[in-house]
Amino acid sequence: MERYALKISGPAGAGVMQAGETLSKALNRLGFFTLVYPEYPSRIRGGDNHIQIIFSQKPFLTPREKIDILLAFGKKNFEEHKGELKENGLGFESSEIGLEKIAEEIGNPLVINTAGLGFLWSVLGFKREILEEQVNKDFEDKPKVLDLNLKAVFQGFGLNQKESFKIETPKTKKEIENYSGNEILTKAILNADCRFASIYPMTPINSILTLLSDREIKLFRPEDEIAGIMAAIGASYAGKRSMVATSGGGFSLMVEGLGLAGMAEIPLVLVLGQRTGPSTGMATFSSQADLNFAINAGHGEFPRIVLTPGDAEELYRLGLEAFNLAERYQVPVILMTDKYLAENRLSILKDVLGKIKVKIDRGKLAEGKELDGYKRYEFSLDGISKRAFPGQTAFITNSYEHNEYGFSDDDSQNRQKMMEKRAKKLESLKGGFEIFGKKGAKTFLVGWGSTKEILLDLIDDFPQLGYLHFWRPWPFPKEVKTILKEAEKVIVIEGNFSGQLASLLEKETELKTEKILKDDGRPLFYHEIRERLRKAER
Amino acid sequence: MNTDLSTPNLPTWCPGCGGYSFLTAVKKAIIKNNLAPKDVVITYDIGCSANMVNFINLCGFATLHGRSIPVAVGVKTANPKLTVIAQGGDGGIVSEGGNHLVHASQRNDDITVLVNNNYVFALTTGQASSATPKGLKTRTTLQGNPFEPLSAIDLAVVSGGSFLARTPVSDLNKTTEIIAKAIEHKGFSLVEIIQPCVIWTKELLKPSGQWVKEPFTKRESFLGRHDLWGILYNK
Ligand SMILES: Cc1ncc(C[n+]2csc(CCOP(=O)(O)OP(=O)(O)O)c2C)c(N)n1
Ligand code: SF4
Ligand SMILES: [Mg+2]
Repeated sequence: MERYALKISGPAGAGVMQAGETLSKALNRLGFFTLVYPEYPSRIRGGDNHIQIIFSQKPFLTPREKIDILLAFGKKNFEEHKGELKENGLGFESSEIGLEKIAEEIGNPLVINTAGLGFLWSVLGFKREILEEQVNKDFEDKPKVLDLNLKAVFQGFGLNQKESFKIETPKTKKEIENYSGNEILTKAILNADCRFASIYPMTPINSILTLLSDREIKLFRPEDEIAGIMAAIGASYAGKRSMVATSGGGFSLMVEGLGLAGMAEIPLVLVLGQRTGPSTGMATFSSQADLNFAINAGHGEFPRIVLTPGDAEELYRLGLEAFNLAERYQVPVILMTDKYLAENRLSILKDVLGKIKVKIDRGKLAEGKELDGYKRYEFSLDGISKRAFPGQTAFITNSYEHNEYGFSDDDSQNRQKMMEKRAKKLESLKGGFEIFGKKGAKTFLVGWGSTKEILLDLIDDFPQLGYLHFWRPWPFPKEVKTILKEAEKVIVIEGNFSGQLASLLEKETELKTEKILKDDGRPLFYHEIRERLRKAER
Repeated sequence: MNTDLSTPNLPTWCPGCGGYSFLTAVKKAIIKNNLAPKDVVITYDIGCSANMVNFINLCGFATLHGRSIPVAVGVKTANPKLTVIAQGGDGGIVSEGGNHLVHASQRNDDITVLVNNNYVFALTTGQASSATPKGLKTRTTLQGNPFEPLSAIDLAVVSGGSFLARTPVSDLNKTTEIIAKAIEHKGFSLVEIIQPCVIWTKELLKPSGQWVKEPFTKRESFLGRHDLWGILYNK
């Protein structure tokens, strides 16, 4: 199935991100699936912001190293990217094609991006009305600038005199929705009935903070990430579903809180949007290098769950599930995304998300008579004790090792039993991975998190491959061994320098793996991964 | 209802420690204010005074060193009906958790902070904290502490707290009365309890101070006046 790649580049503030949203949504109206991959430096004005829009009649798409069409706002941006054009690709620079002039005539420099979209749309050979419909929608509540933008589309469209691309539009009409990863996750957070979130800004989770503002949720803007996780723990203890969201740097500060949630058995959802590290790294670029950290963060030993969704549907489902898991097992749940998944715009068939129903399960709760002589940490077969909340009865919650009542206790036997109790809680967990591609394949690809779409795109073209995706690498699902041991070659593909999942997999299964790794902040490009796979398969 | 608020655990403080009197004052204040133990949350720091979590029967939560305030803020935000108190020593509230103190005060969060000031990190065996008086010899300041002390009240007053008081733990009645009022106060309240340690800060055991007749109207009036006792500010 044919995939097309467009790139729009301009200085920060030129409206490149908005253009990507409008264009991809207009493409969705034609029935195309789209992926928008934005790349931008950590600055607010100037520089080079660019987006890649990949579209096709099939879902699951991967960014490309080589592009079909480039539109750059300004000469500098054009020079920066023209080398990425395919041999038969088409490159356009705004002043050369006259976009600045249009904006000037219309009398508003901000419409230059919409004029550019009009132009691109005609190069693609699509009907102008479709783009106009989308622009109408985007400026629905800004009637003053709507007309200016429609004018810009019209005039931009008219600029193109050349032969246009001949792209077949989808025959059957599909309704396609288009969201950023963070938008999807925010939907899940609200639909899971989460009632408290503490978030200190940090790329790539910033838009969760803005999307949750003024919604049915208490949003705490803490003085630092330590306060953030502590307040979320307080809110959960007081009976509300609660969460924090951060990136690696903030998570480093939160680690003591993670241990507190583990020891005091406080349910907590922690969204960890990865970006490159160590330290400040490349602040606006993606990475998958925090898997070891998420699994091991904290002193002492306590149970936790690590979720690693990879596409729109899974992100939504696990976003909902995370709160159930946290409350059912009374553990911290770390839901990992990364800059790639969080800020890409993903497309998905309409109603797919709407059909995902996860019933809210708040786990074991003490009621009525159970509140008399209540023991917060009562021993039980599955290790899980009933929760009560302040306001129901007086009881002790403790970061020190404690007895069943919650009182501090250094007794050796009690300690052993409490460690066993907490460890036992996750023993019954099932699942954690999904298999795609060929059954019994000789070569199995293995990945986790945001590489899912990329690898699904790849196996479309390589049907002889098997592919195992981890959506919950921790607790490690031991059953994968029985599947992977049948393969002749296991190739782990991940976005970090040392092969963190590969090490985990080797340790847990005693299987040998080969690795395809990349941690330069950029996604695994389609042709790059194909090339490296060919080498690894040899 | 269990009105004596006791637990099966006997306090583990040193004989003569101010903790005993503080415990009694808190119990009395809760009873005085007619609060049901199930509706009162105290988030505790880690330290000598924080060990109280095991000695009083209500919703006690032993949190982490320096972090009782942000946990309390989360509790109160999630369920405003609860009475929420954050306890901590000078080490927890002023040193490790100073940022939380300043910001809770700035936001006027509706919690009560009780600071047990014994001028040192007592539980870790008497090292100087941010609140150690200038010149005091401790196990880590053998030549005398070179720095002026930081005061929880000073930090709170410049950042916005609306009820601020200081009381020596030796005066049980006054301490009880002031804690009860602080709990009743809507908005951020803080009581510094002067509670010198019989082991590590013996030389400070007879604190002297001047009771104020009524709260000041201007914040500047009591800034830096660590010898003033009573309700210093009540807005
Ligand atoms: C993060 C962290 N750092 C250090 C400690 C060790 N620690 C335990 S109690 C304490 C000092 C407590 O001093 P203070 O808060 O004044 O309480 P006090 O014992 O004097 O009542 C320290 C430093 C700890 N528990 N956690
Ligand atoms: S060391 Fe000081 S503060 Fe700690 S229990 Fe003993 S007297 Fe009290
Ligand atoms: Mg102290």
